[in-house]
Parts: sequence; structure tokens; C-alpha cells
Amino acid sequence: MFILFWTVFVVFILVSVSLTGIILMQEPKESGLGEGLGGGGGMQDFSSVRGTAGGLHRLTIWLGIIWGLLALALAVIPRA
Amino acid sequence: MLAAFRNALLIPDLRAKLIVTIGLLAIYRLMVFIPTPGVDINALRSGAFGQSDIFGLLNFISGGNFEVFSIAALGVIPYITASIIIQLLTSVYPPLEKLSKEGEEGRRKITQYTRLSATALGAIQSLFLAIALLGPSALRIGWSNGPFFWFTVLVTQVAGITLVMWLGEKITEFGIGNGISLIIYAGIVAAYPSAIGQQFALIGSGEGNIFGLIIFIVLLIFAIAGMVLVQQAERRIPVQYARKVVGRKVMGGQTTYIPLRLNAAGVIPIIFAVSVIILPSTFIGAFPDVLWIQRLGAWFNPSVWQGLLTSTILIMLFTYFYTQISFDPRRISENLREYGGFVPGVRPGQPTTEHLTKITVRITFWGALFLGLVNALPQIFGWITNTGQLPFAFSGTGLLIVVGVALDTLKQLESQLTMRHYEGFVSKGRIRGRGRRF
Amino acid sequence: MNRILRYLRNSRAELRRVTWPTRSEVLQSTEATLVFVLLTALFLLIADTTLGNLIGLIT
Repeated sequence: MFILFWTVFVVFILVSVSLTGIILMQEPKESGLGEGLGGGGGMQDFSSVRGTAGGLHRLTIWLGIIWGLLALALAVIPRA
Repeated sequence: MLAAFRNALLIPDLRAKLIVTIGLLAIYRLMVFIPTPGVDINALRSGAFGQSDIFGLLNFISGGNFEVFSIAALGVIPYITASIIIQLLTSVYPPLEKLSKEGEEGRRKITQYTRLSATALGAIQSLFLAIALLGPSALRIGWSNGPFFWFTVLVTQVAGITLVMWLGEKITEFGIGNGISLIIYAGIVAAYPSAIGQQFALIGSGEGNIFGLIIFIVLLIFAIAGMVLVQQAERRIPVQYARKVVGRKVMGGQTTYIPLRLNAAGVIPIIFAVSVIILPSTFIGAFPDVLWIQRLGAWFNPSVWQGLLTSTILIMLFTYFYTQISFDPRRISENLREYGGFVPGVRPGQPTTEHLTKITVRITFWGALFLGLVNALPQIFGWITNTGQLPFAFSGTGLLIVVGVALDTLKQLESQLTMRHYEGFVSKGRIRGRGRRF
Repeated sequence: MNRILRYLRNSRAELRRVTWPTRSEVLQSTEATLVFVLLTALFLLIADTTLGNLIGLIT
């Protein structure tokens, strides 16, 4: 049990840090909470997700899922 | 009107947007049920956190998951607080202001600063909460409330905050409405069923009375009708276009109007005001026995009159402040001049700007006053009919956020519908409101 | 102090020039908002109960 807990834990920490990093690297298209600094109206740009951003986008989805599952696993695996 | 909802589901790409929004919100709600490693959810549920109002407030804004210290415990609070700080700085701190004027590139940098500071702020807040508030009883066996646990909380919460922010951005990008405010909205509305259930339980056990619930429902309807009224009211500034002869055609000459709003700022000032109140609470909650801090804390605790007064005043001030940021009379008067339009009796250019500003400031008074009233009334009613402690889900602030976000999202849904020439929500007219700020 | 009074008087004057939406518009928008809130509350209730029990099974 001991080894299992610690391996899952270490992986969880690594996934957490990389998830944070990847998301911060991506840039949102729309300004967040309506910066309202004279932003434009509701022009909907339908440009598809650009090359690398697409990759990061997909990677974030996968890392997000793994991260959630690991957290769940940690909630179940006893530490002692 | 219901047809409009049905139509929204019929149009393929609109349906896709709705599904994306619902899906991403569901994922956020899923996160609420996954605990931070080391935290014992059941112990927390049984109140290991203690019942002081400050946790009620934090719980309310973070959508009920603060109680269980889930991986999304802080939710969007850090992001909103960071947005406030960055925006305040932008209008005060010259280098930032210059950046914001540099169009797209400048704005992109500012958004990036907001996101980075949100993560940093979230790290500090989560660390503080872990150290100060989580009692040993809230931890699972084998875990002790020491640096190792704090490290775990820090890493988990930072990842959680950024993921929730990302979900919000994706809702804004691929779904309907503004992701960040929809996440707050979801947190509050998700608490309604259990809050109503609680009220019924109280009534069942004879403690509570049906009054509290009836008042809330009546206030909900009045708040919606009132906010619809305030949002759709227009102070119409007549605009005359000079007659121009282009080739053989006579152009211009028609009169239109600029619709000035009582509350041009929408729901953002309310969300900001609440976040400003929350910030000190995360720290005040950690010093329960220090008297002067607790007395100071009262001014940030909306369930006592001092806190209610602060939140009401903050909402009114933010409404003024944010209207001034999001509504730019100078740009409007420049556009007017460009197209040869003018406000009868007012010289174009600077005088027009001043004229628009003066009127905006005057009518914003009524928007701000109304929002302040809606914020304060539920609590005041609660005191008058002493239905006791109003659960935060039913507070005026919650009402304002829920109705404000609902109206904004509906307006967006409606503009999408009318864009595809379908009937909007209001048969003849439209849910007129501000331009799509979200 | 009288500056505030003047501001309030001017604000009241502006208020009189405001065009209010028609009764039917307000009613229909209110109805739409209520339906929106009820629909989302229902969705969130279902999501929370199913997800809650699902995770509850595991933890």
C-alpha cells in the first residue's frame, strides 16, 4: 500500500504542476471577465483552434482528466 | 417565448454551444466532489470547519464546495480578485494604462498578467486557508496538519484554480455567455435546491416559518422584473445625421438615438463588490479570538448590518466605476463626428462627450441605487420578519448575480437567435440590454 | 452639500426623460429569466446528485 500511495502521489504532483503550466501558456481568445477597456462588441471569430494551441488544448483536456482521477485515487488509497 | 428556447435547441451550431456550456459546467460541478488529497470530506461535511458566517460566505461564492475543500475549493475567486486589481491598476498606473491602449497586443498582455496574478493570489489564499482553517479533525488518517500537507494543498489548489479558469475561458470561447460569471452563477444556483430543502426541514421541525421562503420567491420575481426594467430602460439621446448629397442620391438626414442605460455595467460590478468583501474574510476567519479583528470583520460580514452596508455601498460605487470604464462617451462622439452625426443643440466633438458623460453619470445614479436596494432588501426583510439567518444562497447579492448573469446569457442567446432570424424571447421587441459585454 | 442636492435634482430630471420598456416586454423577459433559472437549477440538481453519488460510491 505504501509504495502505491507514494507513486500515485508523486505523479499527481507532477501532473498538477504541468497542468498549471500548460494552461498559463495558452492564451484565451476572448478577454476574461469583460475587461471592458473599450472592448469590441460581440464579433464571434470562428477561427478554428490554431495549430499549437490545438495541441495544448487537447493536452489540457487529457491532463485535466488524469489529474481528476489521480486526486480521486488519492482520496481512496490510505496513506498509512 | 418558450418557442425561443425550443428554437435554440433546433439550430445545430447553437445547440452545440449550449451542449458545450452545459458539459463544461458539469465538469466544474464534478470537481466540487473530488477532495483535496489528505482532506477527509465526511469530517468536513459534519462541520469540522466550524459554523462562523465567514465560511458561509466563502462557501456561498465558491459554490458550496468550500465546505468540503474540494480540488475547486477557491473556484474563480482568485481570478475575479486578480481581474479587479489589474483593472484598478490599469486606470491608475500609467505603464499599464499605456499598454491597455495598444489595442489587441496590449490587451493580450494584460489578460496574461491577470491570469498569472490569479494563480499567484490563489496560491497565497489556499496556503492561508490550509494553515489557518483546516483543523486536524478534517484530515485523513496518516495526514498531519504540517508543511507537507500545506504543500499538497498549495499544489492541488493552484492546479484547481487554473483548471477552473480554463473551463471558464472555454465556455466563453465555445459556449454561450461568459464562462467565469456562469461558473459563479452555477455555484449559487446549485445551492438553491439544498437551501430550499433546508428551509422546508426547518419549517417541518417547526423552527423556521414559511415566511422566509415566500419572501424569497416574491423578492426573486421582483428582482428579475426590476432588473429587466432597469436594464431595458433607455435614456434616448437624439442624433441627427446631416443631409449629404452623394452623386445623385441624397444621403443621411435621418434621426436616430443613442440608448444610454441606467446600468451600463451589467453584473460585473456586483461580482467585483462581492469578491472585495471576500478577500479580507479569508484572513479574518483565521483570528477568531482576536477581538478587534472580529469587530473589523463585522464590516465584511454581510449577515450583520455593518457588512450589509459595506456590500451595498461597494456595489453602488463599483457600478459607477465600471460604467465609467466600460462606456466610453469619447469613442461614441468620435464615431458620430466621423459619420457626420451630431446631437441637436450640442457641438460635435468634446462638448458632445461632456454632454454624454454628464447624462450617463446622472442616470447611473438610479441603476446603482436600484442594485444597492436589491442587495440590501432581502436581508432587511429577513430581519423584519425575523425569519432568522437568511442562507447566503437567498441573499440580495446572490439574487443580483443570478439574475444579472441570467439576463446577460439570455441576451446573448437572443442575439444568436435573431442573427439566424428566429424569434427572440420577447415577441415584438428584444431583451434589449448592453452591447454583448460578455 | 448643495452640489449633491443639485446632482440629485438633475438625476431626477434625467429619470423623467427615460423611456421605459413596455409592460409586455418586461413580463416576457421576466418569464424568460425565470424559466432560464429554473432550467439551470434543475440541471445542476441532477448533475450534483448523480455526480455526488457516483463519487460517493468510490470514496
